[in-house]
Amino acid sequence: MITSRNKKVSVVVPNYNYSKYIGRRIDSIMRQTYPIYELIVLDDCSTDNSVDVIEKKLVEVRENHPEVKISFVKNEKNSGKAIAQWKKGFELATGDYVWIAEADDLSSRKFLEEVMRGFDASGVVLSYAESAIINSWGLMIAPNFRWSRDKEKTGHYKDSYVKEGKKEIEEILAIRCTIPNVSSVVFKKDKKVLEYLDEALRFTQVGDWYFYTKVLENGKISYDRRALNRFRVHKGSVTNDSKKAKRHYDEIIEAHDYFKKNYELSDMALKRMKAEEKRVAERIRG
Amino acid sequence: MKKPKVTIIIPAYNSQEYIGRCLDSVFAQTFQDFEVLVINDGSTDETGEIVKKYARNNKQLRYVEQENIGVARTRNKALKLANGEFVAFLDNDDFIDSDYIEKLLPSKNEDIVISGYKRPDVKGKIVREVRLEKTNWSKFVVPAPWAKIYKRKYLLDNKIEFLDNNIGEDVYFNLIALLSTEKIKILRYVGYNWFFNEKSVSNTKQKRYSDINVFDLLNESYDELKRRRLLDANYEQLELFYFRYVVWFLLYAAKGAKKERIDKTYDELFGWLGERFPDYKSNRLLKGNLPGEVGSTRIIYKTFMRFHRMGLGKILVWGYAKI
Repeated sequence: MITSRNKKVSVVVPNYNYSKYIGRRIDSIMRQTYPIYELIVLDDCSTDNSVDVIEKKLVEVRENHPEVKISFVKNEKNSGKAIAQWKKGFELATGDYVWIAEADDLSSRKFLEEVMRGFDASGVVLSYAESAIINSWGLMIAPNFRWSRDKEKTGHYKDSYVKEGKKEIEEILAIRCTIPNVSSVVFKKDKKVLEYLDEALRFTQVGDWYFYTKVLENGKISYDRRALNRFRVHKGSVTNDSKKAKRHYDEIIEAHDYFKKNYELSDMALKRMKAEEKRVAERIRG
Repeated sequence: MKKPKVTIIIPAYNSQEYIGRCLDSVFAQTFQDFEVLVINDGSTDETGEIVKKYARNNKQLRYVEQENIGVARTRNKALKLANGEFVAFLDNDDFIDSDYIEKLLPSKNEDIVISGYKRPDVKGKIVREVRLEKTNWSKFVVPAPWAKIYKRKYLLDNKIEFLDNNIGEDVYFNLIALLSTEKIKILRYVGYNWFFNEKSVSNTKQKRYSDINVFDLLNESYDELKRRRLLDANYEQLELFYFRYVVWFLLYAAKGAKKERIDKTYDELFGWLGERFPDYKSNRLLKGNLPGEVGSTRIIYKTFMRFHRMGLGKILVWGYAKI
């Protein structure tokens, strides 16, 4: 299938203290086989040498890719919120599609080409690919993330698919956040997106989940089962902060309530949500 | 004085047994418009005396002595001292067939001409022969500086030098040299004799993972290729080259290594690779038939990748370490 390669993709790279990774992150963006329309780097007031590293890197990118629009926006104060940076990215983006490529992740060179193919089907608002997990120094420690998202082993991710967002929510997204990493997603830009991100800001732990849900209520989802994204998991990133864990649990309950109120969920789905709540509660108790 | 067409560069270090054979093969060349530059890199045996004896009878030979500085810096120095339009590197235990220089001389203004090699053992029996095919990949098959001829001006103009490191000084040199020009000729000819010295192989202390600065080589070469804008332009070839090098290195230094050490080195090396080449596991060239790769190595790399993809690559290294 031939994909038109003229869709305008804005790539947003939110960074906070990832000077160690951001150079190679930008390399893996600029090496995409699909053309990049715009590169927007956001720094959330890093305390390491990120700003220097980014400025140097962007000189190189400008030289090698004069056709790409490039901007670098530095926060004067740390927002401390990933979603706030996403929102800023969407506000600044002038393309029709937005890829939030987090500063510590990587991607296959074919990521954008294959994920953009998802938008060939009409009505798709969110297109994403499977993630492989890499560790702090780049070693692949899991070839995909399916096991963690489909805990009930329903075979949901057996094949690539395009389906109605609402159906995806009822089948699986209502249970848990099944899109593990925003770097694996390309969004179709829409006015309402900023509204959703504003609403998502009230959450501290599940803002991404809420955001994906709201986006998908307006259209279709496309999933590519090939692991074209590299999701970096840092050692010790699972915190033992009990207050945070409790907050996480409360937010999951709140999200589940939202789904119960707005969707006619099957008994099976309700049962799985309950089991998920129990699992999270047990994890908090350790 | 007229400058010679070719400078044959021989870095010499403790090679009293073989340096004579090496020099004899040079002076027996059918093509004679050359100088030989022997740099004695602080030998502690009779190497210097032997070479000096040759120099007395032969105006073509230039002899230089120095304190030991290692082969990389010695070769870099030789490149600056050379007068020839072309340079050919020769190692002190090795020797060349009499038509070697004649065959390797560029015919159409090439910057580099590349040939194959053979491995004679102590009795002169050829135990292995590598004849190159004329493909895009062939130039990477033998990353040594020998069995090749380089235009000296090309190397100087592009500031192509050996890396002062205890491994892969020539890999660094060749990656840059081979990717900075299109004017490369591959020959089916085989006339370089890379001496297979079982005695020296078994006497040499086994190199250990921990003693070798392999990451210095990997980082220096990667960064330099990037700086020279050679990386993105040759991305898939380099992806395969670095995969091949990582596998080679793991096996090269595996002998006698402990399992824990193998595991650690393995993970660090493939992490390095994945960080810079996220797609290396599906490299297109490796998926194909790898035209240009030499028979047995083709099987080694393809098999290794198959095991590696299944998460079983370490088992191959463990096994190899015990042989």
